[in-house]
Amino acid sequence: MFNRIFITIIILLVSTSQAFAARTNSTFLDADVESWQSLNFTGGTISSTISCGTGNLITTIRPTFRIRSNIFGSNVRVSVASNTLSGFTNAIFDTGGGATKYVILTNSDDLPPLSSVTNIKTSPTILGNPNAIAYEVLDPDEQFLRTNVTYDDVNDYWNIEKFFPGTANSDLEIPSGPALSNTFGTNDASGDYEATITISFI
Amino acid sequence: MKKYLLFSILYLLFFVPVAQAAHIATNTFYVSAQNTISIVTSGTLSGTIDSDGIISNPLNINFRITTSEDLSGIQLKAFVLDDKGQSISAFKCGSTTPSPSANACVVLADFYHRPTAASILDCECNCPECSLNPDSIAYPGTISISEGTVAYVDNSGSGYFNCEVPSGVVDLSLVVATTPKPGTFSAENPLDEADPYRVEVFLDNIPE
Repeated sequence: MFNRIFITIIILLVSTSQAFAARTNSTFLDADVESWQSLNFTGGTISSTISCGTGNLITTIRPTFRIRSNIFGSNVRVSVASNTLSGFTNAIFDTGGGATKYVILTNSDDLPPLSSVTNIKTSPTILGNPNAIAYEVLDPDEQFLRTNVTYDDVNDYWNIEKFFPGTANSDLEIPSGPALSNTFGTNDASGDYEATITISFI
Repeated sequence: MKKYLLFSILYLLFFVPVAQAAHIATNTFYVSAQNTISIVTSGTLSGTIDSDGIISNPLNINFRITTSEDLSGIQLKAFVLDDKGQSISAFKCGSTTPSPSANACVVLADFYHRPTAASILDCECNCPECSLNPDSIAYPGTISISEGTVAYVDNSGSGYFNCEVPSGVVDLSLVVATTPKPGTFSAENPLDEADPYRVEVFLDNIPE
C-alpha cells in the first residue's frame, strides 16, 4: 500500500504530460468558376469574285468561327441573311428535305426587292430575281465527338451542339462553282453581292 | 509506520522548501503543467472566378494560435480530391528554408468533376499546360506567421508547411492571390468548367 502511494506521488510530481497529435477541423477555401461562353469569327475567306460572264463563283468563300464555353452542352445557331429593299431576310433555303442548301447573295450597291429572294427560294426564273444570285452552301464543319450539326429545314438555319467544355471550330463554306440555275442573268447589276452570317447562342 | 513515512515525504516535498527556505538546502521540483492551446480560424473563404481565371477577392484563412508553451512541428496542410477520391496535397513550394513567410502554389480543384491526379500535379509543376490540367487551377499563395517560422516539407510530393510556433498569440495565415498561375487556367480553351473549386486546409500534428 505504501509503495503504491509513494510511486503515485512521485509520478504526479515528476511526470511530464503525454504528447498526442491532433488536428483542427477542415476549413474549405471555395471559388466558383462562373459559366461563360463566347463566339467569334476567326477569319477564313470571306470574299471572292463572280464571273461576269458565267456567274460562277471563282474561289471558295469559307468564313471560320470558334465556339468557346466552360459548360457542357452549348448550342449555337448559324443563320445567314441577305439585304433587300425591305430589309434583311433569311438567305438560306434548301431544295427539299435539307439535302442541298443554297445561300442567296444580294447586291449591296443596288439592293434587290424582296421578291427577288422569294423568287429564288420558290422557283427561280431568269428575270424574276434581279440583283440576287444563289450558290450552294455546305453544312458547317462538325468536329468528331465534340460537336453535332443539324439543319432546321423549316426555319432554314443550322444548330451546332458543342458537347463539352472547351473550344470547337467550325465554318460555313460556299464552294466555288456555278450559280444555281436561273439565278444569274444580265439583270444582275455589277457590284458587291453579300450575305451576313450570324452566330448566336440559343 | 507507513503513514508516518508518507506524511513525512509530503511534508518534505510541499512544506519544508517553502517554510524553511532560508534555513535549509532545497531541491527544485519541475512540475509540468498541461500546455493549453487554442486555435481560432477565420478568413475570407469564398469567391468567384471570372472568365479570365481571376478570383473576385483574395482567399485567406488565418489560424490564431494561443499557446502557453512553444510548439514545434505543427503542420499546415492543404488537400484537393482527385477523380479517384484520393487526397492530394494542394501545396507546392520551391524552398524548404524556414522563414516567417513562404510562397507556394495552391491548387483548387473542381468539386463536382474532380480532376485526375495528373491534372493536379501538372498545376504544381514548373511549366503547366492548360490542356494538361483540366478542372484544376493553381494560384500563388503566401503562408506567413506573425512569430516563429514556416518551412515547406516536400514529404515525397505530399508537401506541407512545418510551423515553429512560440508561446503566446501567433497568427498563421494562408493568402491565395487572385491571378491564376500561368498555364493552369485558359480562357482560350476553357477546360476548367463552371463549378465550385475547392481546397481543404487544416492544421495537423497539434500536441494535446
